[in-house]
Amino acid sequence: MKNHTALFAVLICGISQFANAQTYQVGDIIEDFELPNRTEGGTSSLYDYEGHIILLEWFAYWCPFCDDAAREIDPGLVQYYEENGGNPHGLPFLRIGMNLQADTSATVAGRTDAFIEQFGIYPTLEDPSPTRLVANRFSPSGGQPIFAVINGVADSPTHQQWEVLSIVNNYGSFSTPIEHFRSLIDGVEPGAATNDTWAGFPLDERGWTTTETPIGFVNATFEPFIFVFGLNSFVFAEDFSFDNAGNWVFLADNGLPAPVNTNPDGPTWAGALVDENGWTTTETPIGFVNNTSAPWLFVLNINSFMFAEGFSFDNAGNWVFIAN
Amino acid sequence: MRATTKFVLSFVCASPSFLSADIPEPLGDSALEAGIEFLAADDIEIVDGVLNYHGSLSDWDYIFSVGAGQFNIDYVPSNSSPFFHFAEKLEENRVSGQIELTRELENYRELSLTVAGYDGFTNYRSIWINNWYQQNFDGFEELEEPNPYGYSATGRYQWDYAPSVGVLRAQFTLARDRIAPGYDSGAANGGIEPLRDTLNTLAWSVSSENIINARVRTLVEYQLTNQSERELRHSLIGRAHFNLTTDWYLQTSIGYTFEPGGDPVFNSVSQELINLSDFQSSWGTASLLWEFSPNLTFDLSARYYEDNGEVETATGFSSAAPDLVSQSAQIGFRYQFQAHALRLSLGWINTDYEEVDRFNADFEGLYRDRDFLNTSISYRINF
Repeated sequence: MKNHTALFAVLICGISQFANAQTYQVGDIIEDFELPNRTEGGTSSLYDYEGHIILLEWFAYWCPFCDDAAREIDPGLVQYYEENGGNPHGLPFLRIGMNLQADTSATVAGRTDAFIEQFGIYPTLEDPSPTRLVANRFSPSGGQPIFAVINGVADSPTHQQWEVLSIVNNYGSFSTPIEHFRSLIDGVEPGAATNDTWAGFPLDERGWTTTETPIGFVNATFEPFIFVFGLNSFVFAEDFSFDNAGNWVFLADNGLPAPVNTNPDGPTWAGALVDENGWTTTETPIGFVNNTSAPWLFVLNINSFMFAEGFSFDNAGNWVFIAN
Repeated sequence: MRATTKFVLSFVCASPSFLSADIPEPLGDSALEAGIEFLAADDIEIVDGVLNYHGSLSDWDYIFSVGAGQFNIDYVPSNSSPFFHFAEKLEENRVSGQIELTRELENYRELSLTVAGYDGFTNYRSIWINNWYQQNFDGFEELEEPNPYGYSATGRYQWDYAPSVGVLRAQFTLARDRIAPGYDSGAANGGIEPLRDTLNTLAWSVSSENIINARVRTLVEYQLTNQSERELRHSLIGRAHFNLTTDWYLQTSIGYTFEPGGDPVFNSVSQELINLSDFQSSWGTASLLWEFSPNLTFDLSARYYEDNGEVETATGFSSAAPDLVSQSAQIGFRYQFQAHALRLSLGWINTDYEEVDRFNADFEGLYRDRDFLNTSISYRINF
């Protein structure tokens, strides 16, 4: 009864909220909505998923094109962006299922659950017919499936936050839908927050970081000193060393999730070669400070996470992070 | 092409009587005829039996017919079907009956009235599509158990405007078919709604059959069909029978059907409009008969059929058939001894569909190429 009351309240709120709503077009800013969350219970709002590039996927389990779409979206988008650490700019992708079929019987409810499980559509929110509170703002004439790509990333230089990037009605109309979605998702660039100047850590008299929580540094006693930063909660490494060939060797912090080793030849990361000046000789230097005094600072591209290309010091002597 | 099975059956069933048209029947006021036909592909078996009784009463001739048939289908869902569809064996039965009354009028005129009815599916395509819906919407309260049936009445007027040389016929048919409906998802309670479940058909035809000379007989027929929510369908049929020698006969026929596409059709599943193309089909047959003896006749027949499918530019889910080319060949013989006649035939029918596209991919298993083997046997006694 409690759940029904909550659902009823959500529906009533939703009806009043969307009563005179206009149909969304590409470029519009989508209003927040709140719908029952089939996956987690309770309700969820769109804006709960801020920070992601979102694909809203309306489906009914019995709809053939919904089935076709779900089969392709799981590997083509969900797994694809998981394996690549988000879009090319490192922004995470999120697929949100929008169930259009009311649970009119136990069989129907079971089929919907099976559909969600079959194609791993998590989370899934409830937007059932005939009200279709949100769906009707994308496809007033009905039908399914419906897809909307939404930018949930704040301060992106390419798109407004909550901007509708694409609306696709009827998956069968597109001959290459996955490519269509990818082109839109890949086009969203990181928000300005990531590009903000980062104060860095203050240096001590030796030029070493004086932060109380040093993220990590090498044990080597000679230049260059190498640091890996925890940026935006990304995984970082605590220790580095050199191997016998003079290459930097990456050691994961045991207290943190081990980064995926990107070196296909072995368990350790070969690092970049150091030249006679102690500078990296890799053809694609990951980044270093402009300062000519020790320590040299590097931010590594670990596990396909974002990396910084350059560093410098601000007027206060702090390291300043400049995003790639 | 509305129903491949229907076409196949109509062709096969029509063949014996068509072929026997030129063969004199033993004299007698009454006749009893029984026939059975078996049609099989690797996933479909169809068996049909019919029993006819011909008789006369006063000025009336009559034919009573009863029939029964069974479909056995291995339903295999397409890879594109929703994940919960499953393979299963389908069995459907059909019974039918017909009464035809004919009365000769004065001045070489004849009037005929036929009433007919059936209960059950009439073709495997309908069974297959219905099963797709039954599986797809299993669990919905609104899902109905299909109960197809139909009945029709036909009136025919014939005038031998040149006795023994030329005949004119006009025919009118009124039919109503209750079909297994498709379903729409737009119900106000979040459930589904059955769509159209009744087809009303009006059909007219006029034909002229003429003996051109001692060796050639022709027939030209025009048919006009008006069915619920469809455009008018026009058909033109021509037949020519040749007496090549005293023992050899050649029977040929050609046909052409045209139906304008009309307005787009709203689709129940994808809720989109589907543009219907102009439907066109054409076919031709040729049969060679050899009257080996007064009692024994052999025949060899072939038929070619093609159509351009039902949908040209689908933009949504569709169960429409793609383009079809069908070929068939049949051999048979008829043996007649006194009042008894026996006919056996063996044939092959091939259906060659264009590939389904993503819009009707769920029906790939239905619209796949097949080779049918068909056999029929019929026995007739006059008394």
